[in-house]
Amino acid sequence: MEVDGGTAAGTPRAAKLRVALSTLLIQTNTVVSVQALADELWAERPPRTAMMTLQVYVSQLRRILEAVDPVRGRDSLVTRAPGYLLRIDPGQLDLSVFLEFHQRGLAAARVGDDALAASLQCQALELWRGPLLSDMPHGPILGATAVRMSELRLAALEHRIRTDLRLGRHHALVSELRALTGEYPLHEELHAHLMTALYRSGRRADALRVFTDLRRAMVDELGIEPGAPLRELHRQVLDGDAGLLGPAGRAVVTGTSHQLGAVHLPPPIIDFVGRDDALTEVEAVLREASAGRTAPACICVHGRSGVGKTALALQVAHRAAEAFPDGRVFIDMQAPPGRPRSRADAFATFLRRAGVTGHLPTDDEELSTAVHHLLNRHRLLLVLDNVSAESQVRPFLPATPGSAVVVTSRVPLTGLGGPKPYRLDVLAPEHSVRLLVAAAGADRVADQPEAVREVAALCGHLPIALRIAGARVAALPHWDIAEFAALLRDGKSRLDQLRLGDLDVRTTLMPAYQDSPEPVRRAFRWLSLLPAGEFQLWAVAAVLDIGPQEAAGVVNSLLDAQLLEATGTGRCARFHYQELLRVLAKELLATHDEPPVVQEAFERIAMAYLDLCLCADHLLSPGRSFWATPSAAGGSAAIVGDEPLRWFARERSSLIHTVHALYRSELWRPAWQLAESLGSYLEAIAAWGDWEVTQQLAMGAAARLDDPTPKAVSLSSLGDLAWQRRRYAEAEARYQEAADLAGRAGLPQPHSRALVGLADLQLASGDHTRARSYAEYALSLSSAAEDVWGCCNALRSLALGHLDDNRPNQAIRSFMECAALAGRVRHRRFEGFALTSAQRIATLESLTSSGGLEIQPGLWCLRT
Amino acid sequence: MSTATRHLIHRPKSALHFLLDSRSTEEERFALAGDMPYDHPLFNDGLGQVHDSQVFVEIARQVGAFIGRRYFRVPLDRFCRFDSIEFTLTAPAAWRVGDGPAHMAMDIHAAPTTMINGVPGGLRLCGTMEIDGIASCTGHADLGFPAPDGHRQHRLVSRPWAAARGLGNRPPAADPHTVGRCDPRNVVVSTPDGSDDALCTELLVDSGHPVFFPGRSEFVPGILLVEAIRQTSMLIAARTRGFSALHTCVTRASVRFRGDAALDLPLTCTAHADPVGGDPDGRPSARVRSTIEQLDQVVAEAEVTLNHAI
Repeated sequence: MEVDGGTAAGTPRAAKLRVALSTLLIQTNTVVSVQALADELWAERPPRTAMMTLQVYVSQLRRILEAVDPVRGRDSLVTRAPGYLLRIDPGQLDLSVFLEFHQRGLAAARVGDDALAASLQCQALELWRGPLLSDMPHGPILGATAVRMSELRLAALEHRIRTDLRLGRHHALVSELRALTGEYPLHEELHAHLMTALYRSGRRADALRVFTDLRRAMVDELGIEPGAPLRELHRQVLDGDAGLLGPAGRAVVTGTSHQLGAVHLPPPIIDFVGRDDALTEVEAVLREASAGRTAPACICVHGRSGVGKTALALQVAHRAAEAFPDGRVFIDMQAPPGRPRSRADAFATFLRRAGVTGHLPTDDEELSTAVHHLLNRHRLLLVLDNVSAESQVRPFLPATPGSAVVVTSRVPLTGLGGPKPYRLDVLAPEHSVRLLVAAAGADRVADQPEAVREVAALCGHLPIALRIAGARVAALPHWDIAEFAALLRDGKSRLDQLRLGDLDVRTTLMPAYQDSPEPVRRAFRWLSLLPAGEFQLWAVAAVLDIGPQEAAGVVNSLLDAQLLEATGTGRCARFHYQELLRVLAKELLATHDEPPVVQEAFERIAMAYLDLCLCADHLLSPGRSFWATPSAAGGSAAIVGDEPLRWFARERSSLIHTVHALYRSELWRPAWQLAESLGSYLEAIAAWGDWEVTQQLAMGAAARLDDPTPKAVSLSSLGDLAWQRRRYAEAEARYQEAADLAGRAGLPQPHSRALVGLADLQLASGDHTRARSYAEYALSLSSAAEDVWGCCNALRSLALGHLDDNRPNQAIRSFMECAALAGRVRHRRFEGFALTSAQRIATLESLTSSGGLEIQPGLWCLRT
Repeated sequence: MSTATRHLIHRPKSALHFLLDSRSTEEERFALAGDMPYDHPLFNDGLGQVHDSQVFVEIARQVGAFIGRRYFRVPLDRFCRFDSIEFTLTAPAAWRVGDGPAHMAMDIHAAPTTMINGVPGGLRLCGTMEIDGIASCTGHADLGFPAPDGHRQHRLVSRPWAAARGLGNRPPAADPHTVGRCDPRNVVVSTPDGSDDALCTELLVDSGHPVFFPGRSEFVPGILLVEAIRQTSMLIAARTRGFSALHTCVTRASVRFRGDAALDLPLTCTAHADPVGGDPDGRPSARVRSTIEQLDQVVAEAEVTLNHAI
């Protein structure tokens, strides 16, 4: 027993209270005498204080009822001679509701509405959570009621099974009846239903075995034979009586007839590849749905246009013949294309395709009733393709187990309830390649696997694009796929290439854009200014010149419209375009937006990247980029976080892209600054290729600035790059030029850095005297300029010179001085390196004991 | 002997590496830069037309041992040995010696294979090597760091056997030019015995050799075993397949080391050559399978591909 009152659950815990309440409840709106209550509570041995105790119980019950219903609860239990009366709305008591559903179900069955009858009995049975009143002791009233209700439950079950059999749901009934006959091993009618269900499922032998087992049990336990109806059924099964198969078909609407087993599906996609996970998940949902374990019996597959939703739904439908033997129907809910199919048209199309012939009604309601009759009586699978809203699906949702609906939609239809919509994404690269090869013809592309992979990637692994690309290669025998790949590489014409007959990737992708409001459309276009790959909210805010909250709203709209993809959540959320949507966005940007406005947006994002890069550079190598300081605002620091290496690793390609873009835009100073500040990271991870490319751009930008500092700095950076790669001649030339330029211009910091580079080169050649001389000069310049990073760098070189000259105490002193200065500017890397180096010398651990000498943080000199 | 210097740069993933000087338990990445050997007593001992692919083996050993000790804290008392090594010359043309010194660079991934009490029992090193900016070789090596007493039993067995056999019965060395070398001191196999199907050499181990034995070692170093496999492969390719050793290079090698080879016991290398085929560029190539044995126990098994005139 449970008393549920919305927020307050008032089920009494004490057994006596439960008995008292139950006794009153099963005789709702009837006076229950004090004597009857006392008999129920204490049987024939009431305590001396029985009357007083009963009054206490009633008082407690009133408090409980008041807690559940503060307005009327207390007054619902009234004292009325010769006892008490509990006034409860019948709808509030499950027992009453059960009886109501059960009676209505019987009435529906009497007038031949089996679907309604089955549904009502189902609803009645769903109210049962276990044996009635099993959680309390029984007196005479409760005991009799428990027995009566148990019988009624069984009766409701039998009625429902009987109507289900009449509705042709014998397949779904078998497992349930197996369980029931196990629970009631001598119940003849349940066994009869099981025999019938098995017989109709084509399992005659199993049906006969059910009879044999029951007969044996009855003879063994009761010494009697099964009754005459069951023996007759046994004979019919033995004879293979066709009359046992039930009604073949019945009209759904007066004046029509219905042929079971109609299949109206477009042919399956021949080159369907991959999607194993999707098939498994959708088919599992359908199995649950058809067995009545999920409601509504519907699964929505959503994803952007061209991703293969229809192909998946068709694949599912073609494989589902066994689960849906009464028919499988496909309806495109956009007819004519681009416009939703009308409700009446959808109903009529379904009925016709499901095998209904004759004159259909024109009234919406009558059509709807006919649709429900069909879906609720049979085991049908309905595929609703290109759905745009939940309202298109709801009229087709089956009310009873057996039928199911597969929906495809661009957006997730979350308003349907039931299983979570399944999101279909582009193909995995290996499946994408398989689809492309199948579409182009294996013999056409067999010897060009690289080109195949490239075309698949340029198509964004989008199935429709892959089919078009494959078909174009197949259709032009004088072309090979490598030539086609070259055509696709040009983003400006890629969508033109992905068009064949009435198949057009651009047309397929456009509706998601066109259906969005202008602010979302503008965001879609402008975000294509961002470097390819993933981006975060701050970048959206920068491009659109809006605040972070507004940016979040725009991004959500783009995600809802399937115009953008997201990975991660919360602060880690990152966004990206699907490959071809990015191409489309760039195309639209070029045609819809004025160049000056676009240029402003680009500069905003470039400046945002520069500020973040300076911030990360400052965290990684404080003081190295002496020529700029990151903005004081805390926004950049929060975005970069406290792990600059991780931030740089995430943003590396975007930063490099931005350096190129700034250079192309002839924004020389920001281009130089971004390349230089990125350099400290590329140096730390020895990313020589990217470092060289960006540093050459930095050098090119520096040459166009009327300022010697950038050029001197970049020459030293190029020297560092060559030195790290052990290209000493090149390094020396760069350092020397930097030193000369900085010396002439009186620039102490770049001058010091170049001199340290020259010192390191002298160390490598074994001339530690000259090395120390360069380092000491560099140290004096940096000290005078209060350049802490420069001092650290010079002290490092000086310490190594001392060490090479076998002067360990001086080396330790220089390293310790270096560590102290590095600690002062929180240059943790330099500080750790200097301290460790000093410790290795001080503890007599040979610096070369493991064959290497650490000469810069993380850079080892190995000798062979 | 000249010394070569290389730069090894650790590519840190987070600041922890340089703040704590901590022991790593996961994959670490490195970059290596330096020059290809140009006057090395072993690696430049040939006709000088191509760089010696043994450089890759030597780098794997040296860098692997260093990384193991420095970044994974393998104790200094554990020596480093090969468990396996495999490499392929992806651009054989890049191995041709040019006019000036050649630069090499290598991208290296190192990850512990087993961890015992926080110390790796082995490391797997994967590397891609560039010569003058061209990706020219890719390969991997499994290195083991056995505990100091890991070979005691073997030595107890080998000493009496060596005493019984007697020392000084060193067979004649192969002609240097037949094994792709010029200096007789770099010849590590004897003149071969055998038929067209199989050819057998005895290994000549000189523990005073400056390259094979840069320090004291109780066992025959892996690089010497690889060299013996290379030289024996040259001999069988020349004898049975018509290759000229001085114009032949190893373009692929896969060597599995099954045990340690004691210094004082005879070692034999038996090789079988497959029929001559052609590489994608049409040059003759031959696959040679070989086994090094000591006391009837397999020490190493190898499969080597030789290419003529790369």
